[in-house]
Amino acid sequence: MKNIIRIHSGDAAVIKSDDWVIAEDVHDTPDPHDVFPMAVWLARVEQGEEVTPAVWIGVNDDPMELQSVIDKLSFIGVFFEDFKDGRGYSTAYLLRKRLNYQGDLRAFGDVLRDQLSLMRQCGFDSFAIKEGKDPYDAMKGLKGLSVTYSSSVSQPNPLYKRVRR
Amino acid sequence: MYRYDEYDRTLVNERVEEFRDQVARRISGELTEEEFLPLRLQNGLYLQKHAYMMRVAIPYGALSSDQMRGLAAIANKFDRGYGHFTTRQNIQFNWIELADTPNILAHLASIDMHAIQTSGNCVRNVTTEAYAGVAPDEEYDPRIFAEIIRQWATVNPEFLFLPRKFKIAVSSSQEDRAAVRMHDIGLYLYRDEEETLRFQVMVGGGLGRTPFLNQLVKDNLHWSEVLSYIEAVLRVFNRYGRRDNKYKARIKILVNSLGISAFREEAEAEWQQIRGSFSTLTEDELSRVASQFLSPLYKALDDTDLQYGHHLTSNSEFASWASRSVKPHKVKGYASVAISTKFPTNTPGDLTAEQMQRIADLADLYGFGVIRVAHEQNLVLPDILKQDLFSVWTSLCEVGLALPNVGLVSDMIVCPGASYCNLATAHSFPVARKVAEAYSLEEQLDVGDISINLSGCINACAHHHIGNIGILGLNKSGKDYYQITIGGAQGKDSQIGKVIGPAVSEEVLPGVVKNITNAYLANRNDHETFHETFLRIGLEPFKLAAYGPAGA
Repeated sequence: MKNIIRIHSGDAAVIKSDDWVIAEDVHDTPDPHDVFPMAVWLARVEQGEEVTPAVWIGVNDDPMELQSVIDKLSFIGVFFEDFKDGRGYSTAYLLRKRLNYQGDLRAFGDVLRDQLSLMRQCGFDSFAIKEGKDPYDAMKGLKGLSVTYSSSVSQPNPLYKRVRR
Repeated sequence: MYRYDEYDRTLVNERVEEFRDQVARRISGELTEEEFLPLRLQNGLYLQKHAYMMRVAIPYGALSSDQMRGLAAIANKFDRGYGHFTTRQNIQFNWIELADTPNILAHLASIDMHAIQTSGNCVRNVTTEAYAGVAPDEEYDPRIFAEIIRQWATVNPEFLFLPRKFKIAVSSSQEDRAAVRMHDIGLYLYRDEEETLRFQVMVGGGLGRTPFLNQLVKDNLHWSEVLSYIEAVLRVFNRYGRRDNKYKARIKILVNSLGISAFREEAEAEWQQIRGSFSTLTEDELSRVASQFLSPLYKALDDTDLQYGHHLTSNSEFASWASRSVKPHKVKGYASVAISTKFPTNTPGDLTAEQMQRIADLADLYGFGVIRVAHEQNLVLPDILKQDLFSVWTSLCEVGLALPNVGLVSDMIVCPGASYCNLATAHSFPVARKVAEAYSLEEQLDVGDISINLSGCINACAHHHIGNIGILGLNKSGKDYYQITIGGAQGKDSQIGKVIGPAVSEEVLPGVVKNITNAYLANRNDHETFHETFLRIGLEPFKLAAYGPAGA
């Protein structure tokens, strides 16, 4: 994948490209970095086939279907078909909080600067910025507001439990 | 009332700077309009027919006098000297330049106000009734939980790109004056036998082209769990609400397609996963927020004030105003004052900067500096000594705000309509004025309490479905037509009105409405309200009368 911002130990860095390859389906030239659609990947697991530790979740997929196999995964991509479609935020929440997923969680697709801090708060730690957008510019969007009221994945305690108001 | 602390202030100030940067990037072309759209909406900025419109949040309708003066200043500096108070207790400025918006928001921040999430597919301003804290029939001040929910929902990262907008209202009194039943989530707060605060949660209300009242989804919810329950409902909505069709995207459609019991199971299952964790409210937080809503120091007085009594008997104009505008107060010797913003001297919800300033001055002089916005688009001075009512009235007279029509025919709830709004299919204000002007004050008093709501399109900003008489503006081959519904009601026994028949033209509308109120007068029993008569005799007599001689 290209145009990536990755957060590592709290610091963000731009990575021009990494080895993960988003695949639509199984293909003739298998790559250890193939990221298959969740349904394809689950079907392969069920059939006892060898799988890469990577899936991507589409807007209509239910991440809870990964519950029993979450330990096999170290990379999950969440596809934003349209940045105005907020399902990916709940998907990230569920992966992190409900399934206790600890691996890489990447937003890709219509991923834009002005939503990055929200995505980060919901548990994403890497972002494949939309093609044609400058990832260095997009990195400015990670900061967000310094005050948040509610609890989130990155800040489980709501403000009133964090500070004395 | 709620005062910002350093955290609230920091959030609002940083948000202004964030938006300043976004506006600059839009103006430079770095952001496309499509990318900018949800950003500006979540900062209150709409693009209307003639200009940008900015909708400023007035959380649960509570304003200080200084905030009101700030709004007046914005009206003068950035708009054309007036603002429009809305049915969701907000204020809209209609003539805004994009480049000015960061400065307007900065001005708002300086008076502890903002425009965050007043639009867009997110949790909107949490509303309650205008008499919160002073109503005699109140169990608990609903503003306290409205503020707690406001904070929870503000820039909550998971729920800013919902399928559609999401509105929450709270009421905690015997009479529901907050139209709770038409909200996405409606909350009735009450005390159980052990005096513990609990919520009844209703979900799936909303008007628009498919009107629904909300339905009970959770009863006996302990107050400390209200945020986790709302979170569960929102997560279910965010995941499963329709996104393929804007008109089927509200939670009401999800609730009604699943059925309330299936929806309840989904919400319950989600809630069981998160309850008792981080979102559980603490006693400390409740008392911290509650301490911001303490009553002012009232004087100990008799309930009867001789001076007030004297003015009532000696000045019939004052008495006429007082009979409509003076509302009961929980403390003896005090009253709340409803200020009509309606016809004939005003346009519903519109106030000039001068009028805003006058109301702020009156609040300072006589009412502890506090003001409320009612969802009926009127304003309220909640804490006025009965002995001061005459002075308040005299002063309101000077700025055309002493109309004796609160709750009467001419106190219509009206959206801005095609005069401003991009979505409107028909005009609202000029037509509503004609309806109001068809009645003399005596005729209005004869009809008594009635709600007439006129929306300029199907989106129903004026809540026409729950008006006793609802009027919906339509466009038929280039001409404005108005469809009438009867039998709508708000409150705990809310009802969606029923269409009486074909839409009528602007010219005959006043006559048709009058035929309907005449049918009520002809059929009512003693002391029966319009709605009570409707419940007893049904739609048919009204239908027959409506298209009679004066109207058809």
